[in-house]
Amino acid sequence: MFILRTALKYAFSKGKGQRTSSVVIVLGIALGLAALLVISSVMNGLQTAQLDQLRALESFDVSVEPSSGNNGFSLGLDDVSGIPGIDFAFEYIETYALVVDKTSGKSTSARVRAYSNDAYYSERMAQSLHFIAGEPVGMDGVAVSYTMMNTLSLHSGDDVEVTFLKPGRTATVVPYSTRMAIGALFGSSMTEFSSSTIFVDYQWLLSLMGESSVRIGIYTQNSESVASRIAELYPDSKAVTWKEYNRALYSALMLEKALMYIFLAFMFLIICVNLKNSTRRLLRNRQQEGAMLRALGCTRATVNSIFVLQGVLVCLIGEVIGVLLGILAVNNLQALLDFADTVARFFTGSATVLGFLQFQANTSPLEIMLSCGFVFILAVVFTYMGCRRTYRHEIMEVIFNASY
Amino acid sequence: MHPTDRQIGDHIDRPFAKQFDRPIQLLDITKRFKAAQDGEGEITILEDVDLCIARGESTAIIGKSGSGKSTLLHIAGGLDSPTSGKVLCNGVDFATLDDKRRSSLRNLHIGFIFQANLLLEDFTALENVMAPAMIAGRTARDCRPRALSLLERLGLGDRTHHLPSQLSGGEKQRIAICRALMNEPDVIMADEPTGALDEENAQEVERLLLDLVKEEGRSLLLVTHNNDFAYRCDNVYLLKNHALSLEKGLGLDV
Ligand SMILES: Nc1ncnc2c1ncn2[C@@H]1O[C@H](COP(=O)(O)OP(=O)(O)O)[C@@H](O)[C@H]1O
Ligand SMILES: [Mg+2]
Repeated sequence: MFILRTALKYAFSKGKGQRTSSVVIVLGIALGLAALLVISSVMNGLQTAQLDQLRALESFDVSVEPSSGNNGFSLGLDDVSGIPGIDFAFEYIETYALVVDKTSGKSTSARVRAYSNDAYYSERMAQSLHFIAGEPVGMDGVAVSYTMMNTLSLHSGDDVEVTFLKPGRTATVVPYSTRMAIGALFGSSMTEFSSSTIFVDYQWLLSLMGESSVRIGIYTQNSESVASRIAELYPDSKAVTWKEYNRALYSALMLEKALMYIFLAFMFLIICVNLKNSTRRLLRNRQQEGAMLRALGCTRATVNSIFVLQGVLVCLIGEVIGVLLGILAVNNLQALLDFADTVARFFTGSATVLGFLQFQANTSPLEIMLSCGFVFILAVVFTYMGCRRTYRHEIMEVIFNASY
Repeated sequence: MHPTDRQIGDHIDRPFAKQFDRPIQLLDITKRFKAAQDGEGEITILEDVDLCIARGESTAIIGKSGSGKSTLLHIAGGLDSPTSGKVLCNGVDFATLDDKRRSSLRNLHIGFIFQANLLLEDFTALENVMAPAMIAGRTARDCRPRALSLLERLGLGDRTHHLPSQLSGGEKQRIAICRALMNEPDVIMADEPTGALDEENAQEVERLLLDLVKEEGRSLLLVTHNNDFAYRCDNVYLLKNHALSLEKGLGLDV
């Protein structure tokens, strides 16, 4: 108790700039941690938003395709469904086509997708993909998004000409054009996806493309283990996880995060060097008092622990403030952005990009705990380093030097 | 009689037990310092010094500056260790104790008063006085009444929440006296307690220190170069040529 009180008093002692330097260190740690919390939460959010949609809509958790040269798999949906850890599996075909609106003459290239059965309504997909009009299963025609309708200046009830590249008799591809009506309208949470995708009926596309074009899409929580299990059971097929599929994007996100951590780690390192210097200065100014405390009956260990503890307290106070500040900021991110936008607008006189940003923040308690732990250990080590050189002196010498 | 560890433990549980009528005994103390930092040659400060402090009596040590008075006091209080010889605190040899026990003995049985500037700067007057009790592990609530009554007794009742920087030299020294008495130690060791004060304050502090020590029944070991002050004590020793000679009083054979 006495140790704690004394350490607190020392940390924020008014004399010789100690309080200022401790407050600066507290603020440094607090702001650093708050920044770390906000940035990592936003990045996590981005990762969730981007990658999750990507994996739900574009590449699925695991995709199985025949290994090259094979004409179709030996495995069917039923076999796959038996593998433990799979939430949902479906067959799908994907190809590319040119979509032309004859009346306006406008055209765009598109990915053509067809899912077997009720994949459209599976829990994962339904979160990102919505059919606004019409039904994709058993559909006569194509399903397009509003975005594409705009691009092509289409009206409901219009026909479009779709040119597929389909496998020919010998190992060739041949163009196949057909007129199709707009059979359904969809929207998705990824504009990217909406503007470049059309859906057609699965049976129809299967008859066009042939068995060998069928892939299996899988939703699962453990993509790695499922992929390796499939590779083990069915050597004639190739299972690709979403991470492998989106490797470039995924590693870019990871790199950004790693860079941020390295940057902030450096910042904390600098703060802790300050903590060390501040502790060392405190010790120099308080040598007499340390000797006095010994005369009053403190052990050497007690006096040392007071000086280490004051550094640790400065760090802990900084961390608590930082985490609270960070959580506050994350929860009011939109308000903060709006505020920044207002400020920016005041100076530039026009709306800024800040006002349009939509962030979804996703705080990870583990990351916060690890960061706090890291900063804490750093602080303890540096405070200890600041204390190390003192108290080799005997008490007598210090008092002697101090008063006579 | 050689007290065992248990008896030391007993001191800690009952710090105010009066077991020995000679709370501090110095036996055959010799102290040498290295002459220079790099260690060649030694200077002798004390040679075969014996000193015995009787319970309830006051003892003054006078001597020229540099004669080794402070060194003797620090050795007597276990702050410094002698080159040879024994220091017994209530019969326990300081040299046989580890830092923890030695610190505890100092905490409970000895109260120090130094010349100047040795209050804890960030502690108020009251907190300074309570510090020895808090170090002993007592709670603030537990020891506040005694601290307040000591401050009151020394006329500092209205200064309890002032920091040392807001107090005068005389006031600070009076606080140091309260602090030294806080744990009801056997011996108060004062090293030129009035050395940094002006005449008027010095006499005031002198008077208060001697009165209070008598009132509370403590022993006093006083180091001073002020003869008037010294001769108000029961015993006076002169430190000269590394040795003590009795100038006043009966002294005590070791
Ligand atoms: N730690 C030390 N190292 C070396 N010499 C010391 C040390 N402490 C005291 N001395 C020397 O011992 C002598 C006595 O010092 P001190 O006990 O302070 O004298 P006094 O208090 O009587 O003025 C002085 O000459 C001083 O230089
Ligand atoms: Mg001296």
